[in-house]
Amino acid sequence: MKRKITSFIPVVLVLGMLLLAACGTDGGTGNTDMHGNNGVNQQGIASGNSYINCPGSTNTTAASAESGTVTLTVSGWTSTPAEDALVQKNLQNFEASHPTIKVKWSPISGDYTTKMRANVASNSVPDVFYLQPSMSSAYISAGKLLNLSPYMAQDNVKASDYYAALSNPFVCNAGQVFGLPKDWNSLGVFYNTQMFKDAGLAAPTANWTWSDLQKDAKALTKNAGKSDATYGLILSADLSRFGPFLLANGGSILNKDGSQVIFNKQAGVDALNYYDSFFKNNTATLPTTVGATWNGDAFGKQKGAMTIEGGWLIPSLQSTYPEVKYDIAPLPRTASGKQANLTFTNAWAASSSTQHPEAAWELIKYMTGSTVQESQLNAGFALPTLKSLANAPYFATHPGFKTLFDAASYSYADYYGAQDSTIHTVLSNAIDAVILNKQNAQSALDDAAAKINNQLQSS
Amino acid sequence: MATQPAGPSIASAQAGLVKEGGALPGRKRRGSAKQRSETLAAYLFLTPYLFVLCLFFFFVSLYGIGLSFFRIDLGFGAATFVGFKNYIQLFNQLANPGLSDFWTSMWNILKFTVCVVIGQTILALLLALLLQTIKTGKSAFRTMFYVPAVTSSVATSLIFLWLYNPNGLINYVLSLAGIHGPDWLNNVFWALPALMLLNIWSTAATFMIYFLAALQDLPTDVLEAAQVDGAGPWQSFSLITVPLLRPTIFLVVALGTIGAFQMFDQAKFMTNGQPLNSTLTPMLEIYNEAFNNGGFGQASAMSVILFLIIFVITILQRRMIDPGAQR
Repeated sequence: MKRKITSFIPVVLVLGMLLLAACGTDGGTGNTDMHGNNGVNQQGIASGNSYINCPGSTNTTAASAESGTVTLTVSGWTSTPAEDALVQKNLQNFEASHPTIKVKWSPISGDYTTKMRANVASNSVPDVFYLQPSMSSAYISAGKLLNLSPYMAQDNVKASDYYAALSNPFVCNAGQVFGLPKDWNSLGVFYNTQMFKDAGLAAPTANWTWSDLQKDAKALTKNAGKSDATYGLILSADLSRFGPFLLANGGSILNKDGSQVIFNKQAGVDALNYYDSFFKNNTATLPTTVGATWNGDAFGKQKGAMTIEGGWLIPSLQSTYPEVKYDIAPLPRTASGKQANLTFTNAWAASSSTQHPEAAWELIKYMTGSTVQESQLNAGFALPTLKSLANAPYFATHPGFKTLFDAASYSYADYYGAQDSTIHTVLSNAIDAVILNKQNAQSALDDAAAKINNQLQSS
Repeated sequence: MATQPAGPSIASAQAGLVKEGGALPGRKRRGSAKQRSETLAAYLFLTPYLFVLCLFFFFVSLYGIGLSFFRIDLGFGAATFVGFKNYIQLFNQLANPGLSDFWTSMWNILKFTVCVVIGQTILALLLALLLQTIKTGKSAFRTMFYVPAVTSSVATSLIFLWLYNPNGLINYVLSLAGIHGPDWLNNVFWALPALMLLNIWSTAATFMIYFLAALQDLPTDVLEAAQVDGAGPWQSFSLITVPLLRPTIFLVVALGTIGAFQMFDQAKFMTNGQPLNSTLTPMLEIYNEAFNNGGFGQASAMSVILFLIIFVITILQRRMIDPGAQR
């Protein structure tokens, strides 16, 4: 029965899957300093992620290339047909340029993390596979992943070639790298240009503020509460959307060593009250209230003029709602001019028990390299993780992508250590409770904090 | 009990009665030898099933009980023995059950089970009585009523996902009556009742068959005698039919309770426990704890507690509904 359910999910949430594929369920270290990597020059070593313990033992040297032809088993989750086709094409290109390495691509449909967990328990992990940030802490600390640092040092691939918020979720506290980010996305305010025009509003500027967002949402809301309502803003009760507001306001999810949550301090309460103000003023709606499955679906159905989503919404709108005219603005700043954003990324990683570590590394290097990343960007699927692609020609013709990409400098990973999934669920529930008027912001966050701290201490 | 070949032993006992008393010792020896070989044959026939049962039921159950005394994340590191710590942690959460997902889910499933079991038993009995009285098109109606039971629960969930949509059929019908229907599955108050309705609808059909079979087995002479004594239809139903159906009612209520307590698919598929954990069921919480949080020990402890609760409730039900059965 469970198998049936999981394989059914993509059918219902076709668009939701797209989101999942693009961003996974979460991203990286919320409170880690973005520029932590800059001081570190040693090749292949990052500055370290204090939330992830290093494994007891791991490979410290790079294996040399094997003679003869080897075959790698490679797994990832399935995405949209177009994105799957691109992955396969890139894997074929890899085979063509590496004649001694064959790739056996066996994608996993349905609940990826659960199936991978079963693979780990039965010792049948693929040689190379996609790694979500929510998986990384357990996989790294238990020594399930190949240490890539020796290979990176050998081939002159620096951790600092990648944006720190993107590589950090896959790095342990001593700085060894166990996965390289394959692509990423950030959040932006998608706005319906036609509705802005009809309401006589100017397009949001790069420096717009929290109160501008409130004013615009108010001006754009029509017939709130009725069945033909259009709302100014479509918001979901989700930590992965609320996070930027918390962080911009100076709040944080975890304390420095990750032993306690601190989101229920004043900065967090104020941010949640701001987030909820759209609901209290009837200028925002949950996507489900207007019969949509997720924010992007409601935006495509034009139930609201703005929504906060990531780059995965672009191809989804193109294929499902091509008639919607929209543009992308950066997330608004606080009154004091502060900005924050979240990164959603996934990595390529190799199993520590692979028989062909050198070939596995070759594949990871290729799939996270600039050729593949530019092909993904040009297809409009995701942003490149390499700093060297910041000026790719595609950005000149696609300013929306550039807006999302520019968030790299003020972004944090949406990833909170070993209890990441608990933190996401519990905090999202707290946000929901406030939006649904079941609790005020302070008591909802206090309850959530008590619950999560409990979990942090007992584990 | 089920493994004893009851039929043949009765036959041999009857054969013994016909014989003269003097042959008794020899007959007994012969009979028991025959009985032994029959028992052996029965076990041989049962072997494939017993093998599967032992491997996937008894072994797994014992393994699960064992796991509940460990802190373990399967595949990620060795298990550490923690004694009753997993249980103590769960029971400590009773101090503030509102903050505990597990006890929230227990409270949810209790509400769910009470409503669903009452609903499905009454509906199943009504459908069975209806089929019993219908003269024409009986088999057509029986097939129609039975369709939900043979439909995959994911398919019915998908259908109801659309029905419960805020712009779905149910709200459209309500709007014709001038009622602004709620967003069923995202409303803290309505989400659980919405799942209850779906569950009652989809399980009543199976239990209807149980009642139908029992109704056809009722002794007609008792009912006729009641009619002769001047009992009306309601009296003969409430005073004769229902008491005679007691064993079946117990069976339906017990099976319904066990099934309702283990509700997982609709909660996972339609609401994923949301909104605000109002549809979180123990099975879903166990799944989340094991596969999302990697707490296999804690999840096993939850399953053991759930098992004990179902066990106790089933025994209580037997005492209350079917007191004649315990001899």
